[in-house]
Amino acid sequence: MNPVLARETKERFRGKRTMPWLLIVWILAIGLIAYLLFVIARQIAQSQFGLGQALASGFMGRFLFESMTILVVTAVVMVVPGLTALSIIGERERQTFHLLQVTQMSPYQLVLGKLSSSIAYFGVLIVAVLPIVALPMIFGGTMFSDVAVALAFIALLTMMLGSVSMWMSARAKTSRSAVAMSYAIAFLIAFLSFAGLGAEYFLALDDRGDLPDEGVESVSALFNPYFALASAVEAPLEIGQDRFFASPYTPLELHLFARQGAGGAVDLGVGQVAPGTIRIENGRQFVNYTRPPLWIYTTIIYLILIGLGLWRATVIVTAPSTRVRARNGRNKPEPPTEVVVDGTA
Amino acid sequence: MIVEFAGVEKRYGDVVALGGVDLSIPEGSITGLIGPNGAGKTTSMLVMSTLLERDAGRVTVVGVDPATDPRAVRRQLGWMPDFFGFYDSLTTREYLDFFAAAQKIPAAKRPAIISDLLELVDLTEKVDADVNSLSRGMKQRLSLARALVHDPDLLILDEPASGLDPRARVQLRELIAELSRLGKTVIISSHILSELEGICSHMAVIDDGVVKAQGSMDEIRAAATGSRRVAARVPDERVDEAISVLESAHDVTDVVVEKGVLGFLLSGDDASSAEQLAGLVAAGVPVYEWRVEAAGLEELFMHLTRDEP
Repeated sequence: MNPVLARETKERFRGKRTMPWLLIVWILAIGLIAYLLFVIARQIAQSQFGLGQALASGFMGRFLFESMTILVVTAVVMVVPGLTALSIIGERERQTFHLLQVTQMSPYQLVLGKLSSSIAYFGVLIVAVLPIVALPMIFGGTMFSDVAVALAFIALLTMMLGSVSMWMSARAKTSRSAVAMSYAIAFLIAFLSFAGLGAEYFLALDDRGDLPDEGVESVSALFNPYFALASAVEAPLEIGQDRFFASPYTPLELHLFARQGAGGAVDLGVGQVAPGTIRIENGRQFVNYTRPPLWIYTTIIYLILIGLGLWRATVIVTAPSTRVRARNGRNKPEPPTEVVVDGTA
Repeated sequence: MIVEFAGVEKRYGDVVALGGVDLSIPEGSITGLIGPNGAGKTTSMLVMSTLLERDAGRVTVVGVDPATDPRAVRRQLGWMPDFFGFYDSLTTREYLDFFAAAQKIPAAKRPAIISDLLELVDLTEKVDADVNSLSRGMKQRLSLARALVHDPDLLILDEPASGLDPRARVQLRELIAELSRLGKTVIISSHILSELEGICSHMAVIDDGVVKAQGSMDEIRAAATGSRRVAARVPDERVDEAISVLESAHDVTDVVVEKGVLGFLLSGDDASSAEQLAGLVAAGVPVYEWRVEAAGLEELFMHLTRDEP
């Protein structure tokens, strides 16, 4: 086991801030939110389908599932930067950083140990509320593959934000700046990308104020975890008698739909859905997707950010002598007993 | 030589920290690295410890260049910085166990190593105490135990006696002597020169980023112009007269009066001492006592690091 992971796990679960109060508060908060969502879902189901219908039950399951995944993604964005941003800078401020550098641990081990301990802690928080998050499956309307895909994407998002925050932690001079930079990036990706999307839509509007027929390939949405999540899970836009059955993913799905060139659908009016984009299954109407799902792009971007974050953090954590070696090796190979630095003997 | 520097340079922007350091540390020695603040001691130690890159020059530590194979150096190197680095929520045992794991020591071997180390640094009774609860002296000894956890051949101790009370200093000095008996090479920097004088077999004086003198303590004393401190007791009413006589001599410096005793540094030999005594007598100054002492580390240090004209 990675020594840093072992130590940090021990420290985290020994600290007064962690167990048991934080866990209890966390579970109660998620439980309360889940209950509120259940009440809301029941109200919406009543208004759309009326009580007692099987369809209503499926809708409620779907509604709760979508709400809970959005809630967990938001929790990741709010919690993970805070957990990881202090990891490297914390060692510097505690004056233990150099002590770790002169051990036999490689910079990779150090960075991965730090990242895994932060993520493992968040993992405990997620596992603790997993029964609540899985409640929607009782109502139906959600497949196990949806839950698996959502969890996989949440894990990817956690890794991405953790890696980027680790990078910020390694390059920061103070813990305050590490936290500020980590949250700035997380909020930029998760929340400000909505504003970016709005700006892109605004710029794409034609003279009549309509989106172009060929659709809008927005860049902002490629980074946004909510759009990626909505596109990754099987979340069909179901069309009822005269409108979409609105659920938490609906606004996200409408954007994904708009990318296909049926931009007029964003006002929830079924009548404006472009011909050929509707598929009918078992007598129910769903909007058909023909383009590659957005989540593929997002996944690629997140994987790049994970690699970049870990690589930069590792480079910064590497003791300077190793960097001299790397530079010498690249520029001018030297015999082992006589190293030339920057070309000067 | 276990550590060798040849023309090592290091700059921080426009500030020259090391301006061509040539340094040789013999294996098995206890070498004191002394110099005023900002002289380059800590920078030299950081370069040795693989934590700082040099701008120029050649360095070998335990036969390896720290720039080409830092991990090989780290295997043989124990570094104790001039600050404490602790995880407050760990116990003494857990703290050492963590660093032992970081040094790739198998889990099965760690309990015995930790037990031996705690016994060596006299912290056995504190094995399950929170690190945070230890006194400064205990933390310093724990820090030394951490540096020793992988049984290195070379120990680099940066200002280890800083901030310790007299008892803790004596304990630390005894500990360092014990480590030397165990075959470790110890490099130690300190501002408390009297601490080094009692335990160091070798010394290197560094000032303005350059090594001014190095060698065994005897070699340094011999090389440092033979300065010796002379204490003379003369009547109180004749002190001013005695000072003017002594200050006129070319091989006398640093004339001071302390508690009624006249003291000065004599750079000449025994004949010169006799000459100064004769000069005072010839001037009619009665001399009640005349005591010539070998120069201590402090005098050597002052002599070697004084500003060049």
